[in-house]
Amino acid sequence: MIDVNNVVHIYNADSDSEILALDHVNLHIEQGEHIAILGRNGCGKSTLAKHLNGLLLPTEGRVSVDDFDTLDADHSLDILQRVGMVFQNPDNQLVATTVLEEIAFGPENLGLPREKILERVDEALKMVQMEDFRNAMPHHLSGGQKQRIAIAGIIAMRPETIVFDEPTAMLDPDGREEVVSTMLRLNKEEGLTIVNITHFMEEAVLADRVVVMDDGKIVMEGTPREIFTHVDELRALHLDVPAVTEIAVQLHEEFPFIPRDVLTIEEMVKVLCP
Amino acid sequence: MSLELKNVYYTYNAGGPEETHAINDVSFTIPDHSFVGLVGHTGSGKSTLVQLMNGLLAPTRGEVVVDGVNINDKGKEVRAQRRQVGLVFQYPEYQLFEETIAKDVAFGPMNQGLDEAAQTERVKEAMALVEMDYERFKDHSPFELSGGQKRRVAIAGVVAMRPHYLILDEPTAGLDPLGRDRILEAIYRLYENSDMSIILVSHSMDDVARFANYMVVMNHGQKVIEGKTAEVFAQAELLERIHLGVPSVMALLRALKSAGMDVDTSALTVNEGIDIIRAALAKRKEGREC
Repeated sequence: MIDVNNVVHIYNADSDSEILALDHVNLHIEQGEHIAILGRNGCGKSTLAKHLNGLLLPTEGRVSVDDFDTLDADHSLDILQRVGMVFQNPDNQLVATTVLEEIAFGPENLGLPREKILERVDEALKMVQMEDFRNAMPHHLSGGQKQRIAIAGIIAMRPETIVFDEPTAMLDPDGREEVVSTMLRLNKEEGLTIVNITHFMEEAVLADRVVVMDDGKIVMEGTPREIFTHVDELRALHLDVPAVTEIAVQLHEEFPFIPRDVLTIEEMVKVLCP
Repeated sequence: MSLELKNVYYTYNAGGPEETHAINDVSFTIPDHSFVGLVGHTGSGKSTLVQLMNGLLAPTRGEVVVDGVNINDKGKEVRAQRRQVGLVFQYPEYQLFEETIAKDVAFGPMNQGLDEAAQTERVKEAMALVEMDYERFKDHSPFELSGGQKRRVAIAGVVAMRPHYLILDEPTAGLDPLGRDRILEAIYRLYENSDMSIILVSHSMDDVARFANYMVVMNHGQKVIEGKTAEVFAQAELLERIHLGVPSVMALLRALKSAGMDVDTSALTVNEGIDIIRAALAKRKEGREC
């Protein structure tokens, strides 16, 4: 459980180049939830993400993970172990020469015995469906595979939450699909809390809850169905809307039997060809 | 005026037991002043192909002919001809290096041996074409810009060499929807306001459908189809078979058709899709049966 309470974050505070990145943000994330955060570049979503595990600390307000306050330095390791982060560039987050060493890095730092470490590595590889790559060299893998190894490295720490900061932005459609299905499986089968920052609407429609940010504030919050019917507002925020939803919203005026909140092709087929 | 590939091969370990053709007997002709979508899966050979098209790689066999000149022949004129094909790599903002934006954009023209006045003229022209205000930005460091702006400066650096063909390898990768639209719209206006041909390498069938008027489709090092955009997307089954798919509006119409609705499946844009579904619904008497 993560609680973001009235958080303000100011970069370069008390200088001429002061930037208000988060402006009194409140967000409560339940264990097991899958949240997508949308917003254009510079809206504060990455700043918010980095507050969830104490990589950044609030200028005002507080963030707590379970009952640990991120401002309390004595518990920063407890927080980092509970909330892991996967970043955009797969090449910037892998450091070891083999997949095994890469995933073992976290558990080794926890001081676990060798057998326990290997157990966690195998368990993590299984969860990202990369058992066959235990001895592979990370730089030989595809972008989607590298991201899955980064995820496995976090899983080996047995976290409660994984925060993904645009994990698929640099991947091709296949890689994107691999990472998204891994994310969904970890949420549904392992009960992990997922926070996914993304520009891809196809990913956002899969979440339980969508949070839209603009100018350091949360401006919309709701289920994907509630959010995506607001075509004009989303457009004004320079965000994409699924083509199917846009078509449904426009046709709804003339054909009221078509609901405005159609999100996928399958749903539209059911509506039009029952 | 055209860019033509004639039976081009690019082969690793040629003649050896592990011979592999990264590019396997590819021929196509890019018509003059076209906006080409070059699509294919990762590993289909697109990146090798674009490097062959501007002479960074030489074909193992076959010819790359730019406006009538084989760019792999020897001689000074041939070298000049290679400059007709400008290539903007993926994440080109990593290649910015100068102190100021004006110097960065001037780097190519300077290497072409132009004097300072001519360089400045090229910089102004190129920055105008990518819609970056010269007076406002010329003395700024390229590193102060947003991701989308950096990318436009990098594109300006190639445009400043006045190529006749401009190849962009995934110019929108990693940008947000606003940055993506600004880059693509700027590229489209660049196309409209010049006699340049654009070759856009992309994974997004929606972006290709929106902007390209010609397409080349690659799979496993071979050309699968080339032709006008609508004609290529009309071969939807083939595109789906090689895991490329079709634009989202077309995918919706195809799903409706296979569920029994009488719709034309050739539409590529949201507004066309709405018109087609509206017409199909109006044709139904009850309004709900397919």
